[in-house]
Amino acid sequence: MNGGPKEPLQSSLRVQELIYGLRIGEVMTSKVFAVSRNCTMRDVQTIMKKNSITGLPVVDHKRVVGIVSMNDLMNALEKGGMDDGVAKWMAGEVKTLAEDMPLSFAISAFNKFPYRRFPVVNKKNELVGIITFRNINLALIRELSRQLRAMEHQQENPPEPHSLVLGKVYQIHRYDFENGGKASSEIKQFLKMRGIPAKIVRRVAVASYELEINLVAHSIGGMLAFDINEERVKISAHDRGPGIPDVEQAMAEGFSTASEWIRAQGFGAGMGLPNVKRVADEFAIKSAVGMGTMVQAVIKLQPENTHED
Amino acid sequence: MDLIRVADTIDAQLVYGPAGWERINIETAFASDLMSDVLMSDREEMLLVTSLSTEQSIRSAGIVGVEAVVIANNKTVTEGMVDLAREQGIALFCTRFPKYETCVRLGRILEA
Amino acid sequence: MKISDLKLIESLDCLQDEFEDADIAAGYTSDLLSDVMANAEEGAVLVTIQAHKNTVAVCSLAGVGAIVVCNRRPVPDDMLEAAAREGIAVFTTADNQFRTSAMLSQHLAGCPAR
Repeated sequence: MNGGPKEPLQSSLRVQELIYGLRIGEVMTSKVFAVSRNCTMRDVQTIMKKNSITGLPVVDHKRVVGIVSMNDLMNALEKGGMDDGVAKWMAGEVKTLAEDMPLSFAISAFNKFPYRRFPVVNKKNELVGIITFRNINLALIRELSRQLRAMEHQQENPPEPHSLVLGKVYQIHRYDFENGGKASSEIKQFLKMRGIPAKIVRRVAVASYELEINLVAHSIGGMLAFDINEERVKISAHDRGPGIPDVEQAMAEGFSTASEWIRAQGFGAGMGLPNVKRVADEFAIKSAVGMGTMVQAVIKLQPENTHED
Repeated sequence: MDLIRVADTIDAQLVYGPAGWERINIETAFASDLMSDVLMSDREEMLLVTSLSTEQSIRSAGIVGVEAVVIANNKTVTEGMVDLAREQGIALFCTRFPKYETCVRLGRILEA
Repeated sequence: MKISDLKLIESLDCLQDEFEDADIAAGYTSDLLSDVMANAEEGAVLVTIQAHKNTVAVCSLAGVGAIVVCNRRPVPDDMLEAAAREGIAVFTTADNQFRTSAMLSQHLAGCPAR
């Protein structure tokens, strides 16, 4: 750790990782007010006032076609347009988020766009909720208090020294090839010391190392989290961007966007993600351009339940 | 086959060897400069030949449980690599031969 | 031994056979293009896992006449097209780089083991 950036507390990283791993659908407000195109700005004012909200999606057959904010309302008021239809005053280009995206994507979206709220849509592109920073704060507080209870519980019942249970999060920095792989080596050692069979340890290590190097080589930085119990190792990699335009392509063997420099470091052969999938018992990936990528790999520790590779 | 015999065949110079390295059993070798490729290997008791002289070579070798790493092409080895080899209990060598020639020589004794 | 003789080796499959036949001078095993560029000999056959069109470009510059892609790595079409343009033969094999190198040297020495 000498000279490197100071690492934040493990507990704060854990909370961050936990809330990043939540789905947007679990955090959003599902009771959402919306208006149709033929409502007037006055209707909007009434709904906002009555429900003390500051933004209202405009829908057409459940599809989001615009959004009206308090600002739009003020403009209409100033210019005497309160009896106009909303279509005249709303912002027509709306950025929506999908309910099954990880919450980390919403956080990226808030950082990237100047909006204070995003309508949330389901797979059919229908409006199902709305997310604001308030939702994220509430989720954070809920997660913090849960962690606090867990810590209290842990103080009362300290884990046995050889326990297999471990929750650990590593922050991974862009282009930090010098330290890339440290987290994976640590986890490998942890499992080895606890007598996990070498073949299974190797699979965990391979998945974790590929994900770690992916964060170093391809993301602008992110986190690598391990959630280990007697049954399985769950590895989650979150990053803040740039996101993968075509996930299917990225999963194809041989596909790589690596620069010549990265290739010269021995990476970027286009085998990383396929390699992770090959060794994992469960594998999931979610990515959106400009918001980030989340990959989860689960490897079972009980030999009888695992697949042979 | 004992590692010391394998090392002799390729005129390898020992950079770091864990205690008793001479008697480590080597069943097969593989040659690669791409870390993902190294990670796809699934044999035990292996020796890795690479011309990539970086810390990541040692790390990925450690991840898959390689017993010995040979850096080909007369490349120099950094201190960080030696530290990692020690940490992971991997024997580390250098050879003046290019990778092709190293494989050819190893092939004669291991594949016979 | 000529490049065309590689077609007779059982473990190698020829994917691109529009090439200028020539004697094979040596073998070179590498997955790093900068290394191939710097060190591969003129007239060598390259043993590699890098199935990429840039590999063809580097081989063309270094005077490498044939490429053997190991571990059955998928070879993209644009790599084969580039190889046809440059007159470089491309082969594929299920064996890894170590095995392939050892096997090739036996053929080059005139005593094929298989």
